[in-house]
Amino acid sequence: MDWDETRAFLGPCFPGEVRREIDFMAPGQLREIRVRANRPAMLCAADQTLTLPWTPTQSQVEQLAEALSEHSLYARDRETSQGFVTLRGGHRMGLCGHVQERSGLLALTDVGALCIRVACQWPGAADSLLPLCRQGNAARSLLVIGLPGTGKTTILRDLARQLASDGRALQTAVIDERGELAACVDGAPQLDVGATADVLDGCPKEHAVPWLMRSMAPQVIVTDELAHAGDVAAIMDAMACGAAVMASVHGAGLTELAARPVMATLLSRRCFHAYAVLSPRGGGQIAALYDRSGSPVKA
Amino acid sequence: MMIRSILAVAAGLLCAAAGLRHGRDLQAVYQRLQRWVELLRHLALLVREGAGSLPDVLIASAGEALLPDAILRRLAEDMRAQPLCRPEELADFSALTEKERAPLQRLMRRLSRGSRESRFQALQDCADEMALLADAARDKAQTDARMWRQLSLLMGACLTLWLI
Repeated sequence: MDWDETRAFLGPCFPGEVRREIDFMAPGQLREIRVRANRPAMLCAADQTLTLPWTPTQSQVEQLAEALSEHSLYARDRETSQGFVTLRGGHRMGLCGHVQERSGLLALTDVGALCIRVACQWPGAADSLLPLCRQGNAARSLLVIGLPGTGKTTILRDLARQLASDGRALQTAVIDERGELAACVDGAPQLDVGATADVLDGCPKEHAVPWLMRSMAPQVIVTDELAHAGDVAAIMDAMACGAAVMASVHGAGLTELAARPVMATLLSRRCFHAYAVLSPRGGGQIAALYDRSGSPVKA
Repeated sequence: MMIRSILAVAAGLLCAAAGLRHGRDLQAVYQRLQRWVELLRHLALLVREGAGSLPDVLIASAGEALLPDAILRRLAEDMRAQPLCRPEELADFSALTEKERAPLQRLMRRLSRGSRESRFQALQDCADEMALLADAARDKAQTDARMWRQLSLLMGACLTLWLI
């Protein structure tokens, strides 16, 4: 979905005052729209945050969530119980409100705040990392480290697209646990992850890895946001089975990552061929590159 | 004598025709209510399955060329065209009777928000209400038909006696 399509999708869901501001945005500028009950809505661009002259009521916030989900919020209770819904075009709507437990499932009622993250695709964002990840017909594992909003997912998506697209495309599998990498809607990726990429959507990594190894025999596995010991064990399994892993993790740098016990295992065992640390300024800029032993390398 | 007999038969026939017309109207209301019940029950199943967005399930259930189907299809199209509006703001039930409109308007208010279970329950409740209305309409159609039949016979007989 390009910017014109994104505007055409988002526009009718918002009142005129928000729509006008969205229309003024240049392609790639809009990152998030934050809407909170009884407080002014905000547009978060790459370089500034705009406070809008629209203060919605709780009922309007709820109606906005319905409109953005194309009136399918009720049918997507599994997603809402995790706090987000993937929208058409790959955008992601985070939800906040009152949570109740119903028959073992968390149910969100009285939606009071929304965070609409506008999906963006920057073809070529991973160009500088590609030589590190690919050698001939083989792929090499890479860990992308960055703070929230620095472009980890965008870089991983572009890596998947490039590895799975050119003449020497590798069999790539995308584990899209949170629906951010490929943003599947009704089983179809809304964002370009490459012609030979298979997407396993909404599945935790510890289940997804054996599933994919059994069923799709991938040469490369691309996955976002390693967080738990289970995630780490899963990707180590994938590597042991012969697949290269492109993954991302929250962190400010390699040293900070090594201080986290769960992640320290990955570093001490030298699981990844290289590490890319993203600049906190955002935009997917690479601040530093390290080899498998943690020594800096030139891009 | 001949003219008097013809007048008596004509009076009886007029009463019968009025009765038939009234009966046909009542029958149409009954059939429409029955269609609402079928539609709402089907819709409830689709909603319970989470078979798609609200406009999608409305269109999936409204497949025939009848008034209730047309109303739901129109509602689905309007919901897609004006996503910020709630179903209760968009639904047009002006072609229905007051009795039919009330439960459907209540349904639209409940259908616009809430969980899958609450929307399923709203559809079930509305279907039950419409089923009660359909039963009442059927009973009324039968009673009225009987009444008009008897009235036409009586009118014919009275007129014959009076004319003789």
